[in-house]
Amino acid sequence: MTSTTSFKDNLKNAFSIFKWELKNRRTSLIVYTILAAVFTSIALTICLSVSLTATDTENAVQGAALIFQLVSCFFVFGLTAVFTIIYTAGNYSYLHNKRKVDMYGSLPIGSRTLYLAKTVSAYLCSVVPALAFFGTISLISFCMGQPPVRETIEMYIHLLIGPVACISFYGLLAICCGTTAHSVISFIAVCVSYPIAAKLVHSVFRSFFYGLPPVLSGSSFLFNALNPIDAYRGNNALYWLLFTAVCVALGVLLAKKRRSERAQNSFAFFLPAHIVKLIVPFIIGMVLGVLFGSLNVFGNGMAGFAFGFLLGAVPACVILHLIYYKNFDVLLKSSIPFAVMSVLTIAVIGFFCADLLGYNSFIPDKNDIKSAGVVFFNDVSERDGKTAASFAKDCADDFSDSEKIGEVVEVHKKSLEGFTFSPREKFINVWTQTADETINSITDYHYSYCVSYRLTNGRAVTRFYSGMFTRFRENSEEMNYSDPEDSAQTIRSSPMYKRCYSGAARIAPDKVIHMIVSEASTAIEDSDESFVNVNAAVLDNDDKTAADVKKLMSAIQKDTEEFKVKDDSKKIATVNLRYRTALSDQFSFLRFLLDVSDMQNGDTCQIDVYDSDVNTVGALREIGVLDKNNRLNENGKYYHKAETDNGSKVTG
Amino acid sequence: MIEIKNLTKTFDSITAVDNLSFQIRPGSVMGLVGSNGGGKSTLLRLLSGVYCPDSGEIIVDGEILYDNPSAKGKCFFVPDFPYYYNNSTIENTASLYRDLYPNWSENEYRRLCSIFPVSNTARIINMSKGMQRQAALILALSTCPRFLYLDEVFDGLDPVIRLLLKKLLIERVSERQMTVVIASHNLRELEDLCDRVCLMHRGRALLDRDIDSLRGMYRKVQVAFTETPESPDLFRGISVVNAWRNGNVFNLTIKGREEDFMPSLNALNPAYVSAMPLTLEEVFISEMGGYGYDVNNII
Repeated sequence: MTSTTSFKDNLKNAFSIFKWELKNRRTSLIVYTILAAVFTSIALTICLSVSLTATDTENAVQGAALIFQLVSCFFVFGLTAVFTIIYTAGNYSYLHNKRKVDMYGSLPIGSRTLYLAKTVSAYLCSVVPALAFFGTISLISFCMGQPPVRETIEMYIHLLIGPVACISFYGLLAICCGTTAHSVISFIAVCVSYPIAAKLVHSVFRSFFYGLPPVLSGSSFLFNALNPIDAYRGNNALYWLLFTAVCVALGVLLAKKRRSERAQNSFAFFLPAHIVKLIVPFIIGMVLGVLFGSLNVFGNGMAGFAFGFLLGAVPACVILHLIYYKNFDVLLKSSIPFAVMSVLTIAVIGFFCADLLGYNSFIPDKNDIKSAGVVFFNDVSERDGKTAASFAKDCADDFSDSEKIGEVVEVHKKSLEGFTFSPREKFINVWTQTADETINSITDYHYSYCVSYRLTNGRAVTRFYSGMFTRFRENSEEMNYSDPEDSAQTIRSSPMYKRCYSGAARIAPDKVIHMIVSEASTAIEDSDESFVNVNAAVLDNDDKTAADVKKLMSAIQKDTEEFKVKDDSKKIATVNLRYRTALSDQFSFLRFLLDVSDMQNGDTCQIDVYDSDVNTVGALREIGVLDKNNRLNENGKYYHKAETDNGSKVTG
Repeated sequence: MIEIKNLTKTFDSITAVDNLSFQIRPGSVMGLVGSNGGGKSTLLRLLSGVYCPDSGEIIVDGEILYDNPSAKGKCFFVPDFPYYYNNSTIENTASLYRDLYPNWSENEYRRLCSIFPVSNTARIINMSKGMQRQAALILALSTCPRFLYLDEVFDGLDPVIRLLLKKLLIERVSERQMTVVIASHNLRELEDLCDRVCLMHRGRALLDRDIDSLRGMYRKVQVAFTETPESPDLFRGISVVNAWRNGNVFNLTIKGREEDFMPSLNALNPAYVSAMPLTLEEVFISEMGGYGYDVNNII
């Protein structure tokens, strides 16, 4: 009875809708083009004018081109994000406006084809003009001697992923909602509330389980899984592509089932209402619950939490119900998921509070431990993308002798000394965890360390501690980081520990910014700023010295790998090196504007060179840093004579 | 041919179309009349594929209509308030329909643009209501639909354009066997145009007949007596739907044929009796009154 429409016909119809959309968006596209063109022209004019007044015109023009490229692309990026919102809300209003429903609903085109055509037109109308501008900006910049830099290319990619993910998610919500207002409210509510809820959950886990390793990094997709605005940052591209595909597939599936008459009604499908009615009351309930828990309301943190949670979550749920449903009809029926969520939350928090599994105070018995390890992250100079969790996992196999195992257990005991795990303290710690930039700082390792055990039954036990967790202490004093550090002296000075966690073993030669070699007797401390006061050899990693830097780094890494240092080995030199880290490589537009040089700062690492490090010593001699007596070669091309306080040079 | 089988459409607790079944022959003009909220516009939206039936089905030339581009390509729906974008003109809207409707006729489009006194390059939203309606009609007729659905199409049209529209519709119906379904409260216009009328009330078709037989169903009768017979049940045996008395003169609306009720009236020895057919509007009021929908009940 029903004739099938061929793919070719569908494609033809979809293309007709796309052309139609283009015509209807002509005005906004013109406004977009004018704004982008005017701003680009302003940026170009200012950059050129400033550069032409400089003395070194050639370099100044190239620098101006770089600034023009970045500033213009950044503006076009922002402008595109704003216009994407405008396009998208208008694009899907054909589902919500009754008169549009009459028009589009009677057209001889399938509902799925129409939905897909609308979605694709929104993608193209958002992305294509932006890419055209990016292309033009890059071309102008290229003509001025500055090819597109990595940051610009990254912006291109972010611009492809961000709008596509946002449009797809909004499209799905629009299919579910009966009005544009509900779609927009749902989109904002989900995008804002989900990351907050995810962070709260994460904070609760980290606060209630003292020593829980940071399994998730701050950029994990789980923190923003339902917040496609995060896709503009370019993280987790694969996840966002998958997210887009799922949203489009769901949208297409629901497009056929959707009843046109739901236009200007509350919902066609109640998915967004359920999501928002779960997440928002959860957040409000958690905030009030944790507040009451940390205030020890009713003299019991858990009772305070339960009371606060319900006091916050129930009214929030009722208000959201009124916003979405306009009346109290089906309040009870539609709130079943909310009720389940509330009961589960209170039960889970209660379970966590009681610490029935004894997670917080658990230290394995020495006899049950097969091997163990400890890592102080201050010692790990270059992590090379390796996470704290993977360090923790790997270090469980470091030591299997009972002496070292005992030392690890001692570090673990020191970590738990003077700590209390009352529910109140746990609730207070949720604030610390949530308010602090902890997701990053935990993985940032400073004042952090982990102990890890491989038990005889094969199970691995890992605990991660940080100086940040001060709230567990009874007297709220800061954790004494040096206590566990001191307990692990033997481990930290062991060859195994040095080989595994020495920065030298991990730095790629092209990441090195400069290397400063000083004699053991005059070794400079952590900072490489003080080298001006001692005699040293300085290798700036540029085109001329790159080969020598590479040779020296290869030798250092070979010696680190072989690790022949013995107790009687003689220290002959110290190498301080500064290198670019993943963080310093990460582009920050604001940082770029405020301080260009800051991009080059990176991090530092110190390597002691012993006479047993034959490869390193050999390389240092070969490149003319050391003489045959293993002293600094004053005639070497990298030799730098120390300056006195008054600026005059001193002899070595 | 349009076949409507057990069609039902509900909106929450309201049944807008209630188990409707009928057929519309090719080349006919059907008028949908009825009370406000009677289900006329909903039926048109169902016929044009905007709404999906809750139960039952609509079959157009042997194909189920809903979400079927091929069947929908034969239909065109002009709603009571057509939607136009801010920058829509007849010309750029035509470009969409030209691509989507398989029977689009460029000659027809040019001809209609020259017949109707509206500019095809002016923005439609700046036009008056009547001109917007004309724009919609130009586009609708240019798609050469086999089935044309018009909702309150005469609203806002001046008498000349109304006449022109009727002429154009009749021309297409007779030449191309186009089927037209018009929902309207303007019964006077429908009377001229339709060959069949469906009266809808609360989602049901109270009456579905050819217009001539519909007119023949009722007679408006004036009866005058020199001296009115004293009888509480004067017109017993006659199906009087409505009666109004002014002294010795009675104005009656009688259901039935003249040859059936005239002998009974003549038996009362009236001084004067005359019978004439009802207008469609009068039929509408009479019929609706039978279902409790009359002015007296509403007030």
